[in-house]
Amino acid sequence: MWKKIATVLGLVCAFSAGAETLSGRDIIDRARQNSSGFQDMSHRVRMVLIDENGDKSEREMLLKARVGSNGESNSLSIFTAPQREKGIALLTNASKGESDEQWLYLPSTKRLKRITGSSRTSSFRGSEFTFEDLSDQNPDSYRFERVGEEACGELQCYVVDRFPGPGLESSYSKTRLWIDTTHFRPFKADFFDGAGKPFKSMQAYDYRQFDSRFWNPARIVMTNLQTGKATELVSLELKMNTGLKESEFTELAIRSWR
Amino acid sequence: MKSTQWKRPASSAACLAGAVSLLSVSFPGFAAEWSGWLNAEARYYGQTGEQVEEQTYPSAAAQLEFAHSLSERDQFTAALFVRGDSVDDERNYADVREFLWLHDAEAYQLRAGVGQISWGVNELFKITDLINQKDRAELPFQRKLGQPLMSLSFYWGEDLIELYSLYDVRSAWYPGEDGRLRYPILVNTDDEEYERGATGRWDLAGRWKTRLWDMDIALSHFYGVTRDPYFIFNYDFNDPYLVPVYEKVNQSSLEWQYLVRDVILRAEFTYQTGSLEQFESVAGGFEYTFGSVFESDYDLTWYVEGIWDSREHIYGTLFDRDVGVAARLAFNDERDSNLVLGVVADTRYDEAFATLFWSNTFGESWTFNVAGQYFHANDERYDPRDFIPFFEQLVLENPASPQSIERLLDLVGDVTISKKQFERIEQFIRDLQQPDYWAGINTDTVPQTLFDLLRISDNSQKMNLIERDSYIQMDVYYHF
Repeated sequence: MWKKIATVLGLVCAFSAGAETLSGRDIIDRARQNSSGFQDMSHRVRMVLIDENGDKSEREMLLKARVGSNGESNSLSIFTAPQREKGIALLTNASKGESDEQWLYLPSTKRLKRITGSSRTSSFRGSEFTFEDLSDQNPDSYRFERVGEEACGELQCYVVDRFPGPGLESSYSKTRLWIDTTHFRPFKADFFDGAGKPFKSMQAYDYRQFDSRFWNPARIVMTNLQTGKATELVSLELKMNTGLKESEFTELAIRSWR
Repeated sequence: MKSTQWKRPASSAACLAGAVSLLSVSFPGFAAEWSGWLNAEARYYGQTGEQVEEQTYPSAAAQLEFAHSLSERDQFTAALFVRGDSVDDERNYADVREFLWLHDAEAYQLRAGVGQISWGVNELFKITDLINQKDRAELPFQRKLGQPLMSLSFYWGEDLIELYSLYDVRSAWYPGEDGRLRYPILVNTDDEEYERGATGRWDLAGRWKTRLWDMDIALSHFYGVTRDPYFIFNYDFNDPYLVPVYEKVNQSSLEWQYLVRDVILRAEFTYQTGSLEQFESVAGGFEYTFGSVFESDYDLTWYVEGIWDSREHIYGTLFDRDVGVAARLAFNDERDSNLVLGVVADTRYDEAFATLFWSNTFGESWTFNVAGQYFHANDERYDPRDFIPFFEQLVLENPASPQSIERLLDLVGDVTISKKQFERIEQFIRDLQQPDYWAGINTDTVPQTLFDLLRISDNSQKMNLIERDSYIQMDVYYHF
């Protein structure tokens, strides 16, 4: 079903750094640096699916994530709205060097079911985001080219092209990224399909700073240029480093979640 | 030690009813929350039934849910379900799915009240999942009746240990006179027999879930009244019905699950002893998902499972030595569309059934389902002409002739039965040899009743009893 949405919203955080001559990969590494800097987060998010006629459907979820002392991580995503889906939860445990373990909890049957990860190119619950978009995108699996610099709104942005490396399953032949030169925050991404045609476009709005160092956009919009559909992710509440415990990522914790 | 464990939650549970209303006043910060759903259902059978002409069964249901945080660590949840069926009166019923107090301490979790517990790893043949009685009136959905229980759960290292004390068994539901998917002779749920053992109405269970290398393993034991009764005939030919018999059993089970790359392998094994019989059963298989099939967002998941049960004659279930294959197509769309097609085939008899399930959502609050089941029986059906004349002759004899008794013994000889059934048949055959057994009995219906009994008792006939009951059903849910 849905995978590691928690990581992405951590991923779209950036780190302030001085401007110097940086390669495409350097810029990406800077942008990623602090996604590993938090111990835990809990994020309430609204996902709005907008179809080609402008009709909207909304879902809300609570994303909790925690990084342990040995680099192991836990994430728990719980749907909180609409009522129909309330309580459906996805638990992911990842240890260094091992593949993720995932469980899906269905409140209607009170069953915690082991599942395999979803295909990277599949849509996340009918949204314009694929699991690839939402998962932790290891830069070693991609090749980056710095294209140049241009103005993005009131800021100046680096423009970097990203290409999937050999053997990587991806929906995109190329992704063009706009990352601002002051805080290394991604503002825009254009995705190109297998035939090289413009496919999707993502924009991030209203960055806010947390804990004096994490940057998070209040809103991300992914538009499908070929179908006219769009998906909006709205950050409702983000708390970082509140001291989530490992025991909050267990079967018993899911059972008693309200 | 066990009894002290019971007492503490029991006294807390007793305070609960009063506490709920008080606490909503004293802790305004912990809001109460109402939710639930309404359902309209239409089921259509493709043919008239063996006993029932009716083909269209409209019905409605509702579930009302209530959740309330009593404190940081205590919560109360309740779910009440009601169903009304316009044709089958037996399907007008209500059930407390949940009425549960949950206490979450640092080191353990306590639950008391009426709850829903899920055991097992299998998707098709769920043989270890026996804490809650299945809600057979809601088939093909996997709903369960609420089980009165108390439970203590805690982690022992990484292992999850859960201890349960269960109060009584919820009796299994069977269709009424106007219902379909039923035996030619009705099961009377107002006349049930229980053989409770030393612990009476209290049953015990425990489960230990652990990891061994990369495998998920669970060991469990259940000492309690079986959830699958067997039947005995009441031998009242003026008012014939089947009596469900529940007996105390011990069931030990093992669950195993292992991921090899993207394949989930799973198996369940159970060993059960009771006064009726002892048997073992093993069921397992695998699940594999093909992502993004047909160059689309669709995920296609295959489930393949088999079951082998050592019993020669099984009551209350169609599955003994079967193989099942199911495919789920998840559309990954904004409507959460899913299509499931499955086939289960018996390896001993030429019979099978197929299931179809479609589900999608619309709007914020609606769900739409289509479900269907198709039954196929190819084993030779008992021909009434081979039996009815004999039974007609039997009711005319006064007393029964030695030849008739011999033929009767021959007919029941193949049927594996319980001691209780054996005693009743023995008594019946003794009675037949006395004069005037049929006096006062309306003998017109007796030959058909005896023929029906014969079909019910024979495993090779179990599918052809419901062969005409293939159906398609539509459900609309409104969630609030």
